[in-house]
Amino acid sequence: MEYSIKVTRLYKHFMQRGKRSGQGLFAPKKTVKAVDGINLFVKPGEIIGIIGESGCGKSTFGKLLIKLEDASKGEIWLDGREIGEFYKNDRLLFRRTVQMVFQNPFDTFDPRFTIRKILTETLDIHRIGETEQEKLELVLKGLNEVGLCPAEEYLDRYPHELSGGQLQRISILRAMLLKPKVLISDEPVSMLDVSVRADVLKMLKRLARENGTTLLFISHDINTVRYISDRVAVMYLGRIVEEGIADEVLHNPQHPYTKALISNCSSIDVFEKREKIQVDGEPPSPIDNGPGCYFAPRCFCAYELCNETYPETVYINETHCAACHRIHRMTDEKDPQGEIHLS
Amino acid sequence: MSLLSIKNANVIYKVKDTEIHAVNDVSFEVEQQDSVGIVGESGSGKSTLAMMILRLLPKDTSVTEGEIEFDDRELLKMTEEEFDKLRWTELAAVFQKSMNALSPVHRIGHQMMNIYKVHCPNVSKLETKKRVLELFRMVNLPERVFHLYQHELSGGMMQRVSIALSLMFNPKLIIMDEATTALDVITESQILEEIMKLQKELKLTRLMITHDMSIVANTCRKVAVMYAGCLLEYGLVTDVIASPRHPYTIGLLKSFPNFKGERAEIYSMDGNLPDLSRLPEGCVFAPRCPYAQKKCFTCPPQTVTYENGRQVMCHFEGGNNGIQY
Repeated sequence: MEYSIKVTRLYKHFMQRGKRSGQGLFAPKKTVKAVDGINLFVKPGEIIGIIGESGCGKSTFGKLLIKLEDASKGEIWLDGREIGEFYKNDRLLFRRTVQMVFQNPFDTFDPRFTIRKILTETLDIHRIGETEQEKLELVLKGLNEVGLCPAEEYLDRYPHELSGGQLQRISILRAMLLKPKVLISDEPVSMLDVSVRADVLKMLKRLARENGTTLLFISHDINTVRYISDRVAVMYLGRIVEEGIADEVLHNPQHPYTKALISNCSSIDVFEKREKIQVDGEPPSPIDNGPGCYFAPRCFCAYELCNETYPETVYINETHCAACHRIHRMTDEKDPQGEIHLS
Repeated sequence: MSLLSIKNANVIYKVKDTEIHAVNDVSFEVEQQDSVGIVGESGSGKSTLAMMILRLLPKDTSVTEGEIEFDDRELLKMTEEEFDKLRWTELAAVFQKSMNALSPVHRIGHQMMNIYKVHCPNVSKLETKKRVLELFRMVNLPERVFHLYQHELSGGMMQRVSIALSLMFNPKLIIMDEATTALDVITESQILEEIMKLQKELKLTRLMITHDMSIVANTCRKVAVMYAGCLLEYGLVTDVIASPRHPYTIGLLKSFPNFKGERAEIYSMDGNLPDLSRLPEGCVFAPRCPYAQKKCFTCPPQTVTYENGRQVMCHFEGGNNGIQY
């Protein structure tokens, strides 16, 4: 089957500048392993949510997919083509295949451009629409679609005259004007106010469904991810630790990190008392992680093996997988010690 | 007995020829050792209200009216010298960007000792240091932080330093302005737990300003919902969040995607925040309100008080006049 996004063993290591790890001039430089071996397969039209704390590499992963960063190792296939080749051969088509919506709508646009120019420029570059009139009609139709009516009123305004919610709509529209196969949205609603947030989320979901766009939704907000996505991947220090159907991962998490993350996520239900799983220590840096499981130093159920080797990804069922030694043990009936009981 | 009582507070910012009504006739009371969360979107005036209590608003561009009574003293009528004595010893604050609150060129311990000296100039150095280390222990910071610079700390540690700073003189009231907003989920919940523990130990009264309803739901006893400078609803968290009465609160709560149960469609409010320089004749929320009637656009609603000190500012509050929520 053709996958819309196919990522195999993807690595992105950043060299640390200046500071050397040991003493002396020739000691090896430190590398920051921002993305450390990701495998991900996404079907066309699917919405996948990526959750993780800040610094876990989720934004770097998004940037790799759209080639804002070059991968150190590994392959990315978008819409059946390897992106290195794809980008080299037909840059315009590549950009039309994959688009991105950024976190901060206030920084996304040139402050000297009007909304009309921002939107028609995209069409000009990609030679969509033959006459000016046709382009304008496309833009107006788009503005109405993202809920900015009357559209004519917005055309000659500048970005600073609009609110964050309106700008984010335009940012989404600019990406969707090209009818991309893949849309990457990096925390698109985290800068917006709560009452506007719901509307933008709804619109994003609707547009993706209508156009059959594959949406990669990066966020740290579990509730939002649950609302929008079909599947969810949880990242920790550059690796995907758990992946599966959204409700299955979030309601029946297998990896201790996912469990901790969900239990610490606050809800607006006043009467619900959730048992919080205490996670000690600071979020570690992705430098020198050692051979064991990256989460082991903070894990509440780590044992010796966790510090020795990184666990393999285990499939709990056909669609749900997680990387934890404990899951091995649980399936292994000879070892009764392996059973862990978690609330 | 109430520790802080705010009566008809108004803040008007004057910019060139326009007057921006940032806080509009807000009145509520905070009892001793209570925790009140103020929620609202950006531009709803929640931070302005906090700055008004701390008297940190710019003098030449803002006009404040109303009464703020703190511990039987009128805060707005005090002279600057009198208020300076109160600041930080009885009223303390934790701000959102703790990164910007600390000096980048002094060690953390040195900075904190300096601040301690402002109010207690005659205490010996050794004792000051002892106090600072004691504060570190309270907020779970290792002692080595004393000798570190600001840039060597993580976001969570810096926020802890800020909290330690605010607790320095055992204040009665502590105002937290988006104190945990920039932090990660796990760090945030760690710090919130610590804050609640400290509040019990030190018998603090806490005012939390945030845009995140879930933080208030989990950590506060009372909640004040602000919108466009007006206090729309105020009351116990268990009352307001479980059975909201103002259409704005109802909409706000419905717009949160839920974690459990059916994956229902989320509710979205139409429109945007009103222009605060031109206040509407009627209710501030009327243009976005799904239940608005003619009356809502013409005359401003009164605040109605109910059991448990609950306040609601709406003409058709509580399902009156056949409105179904």
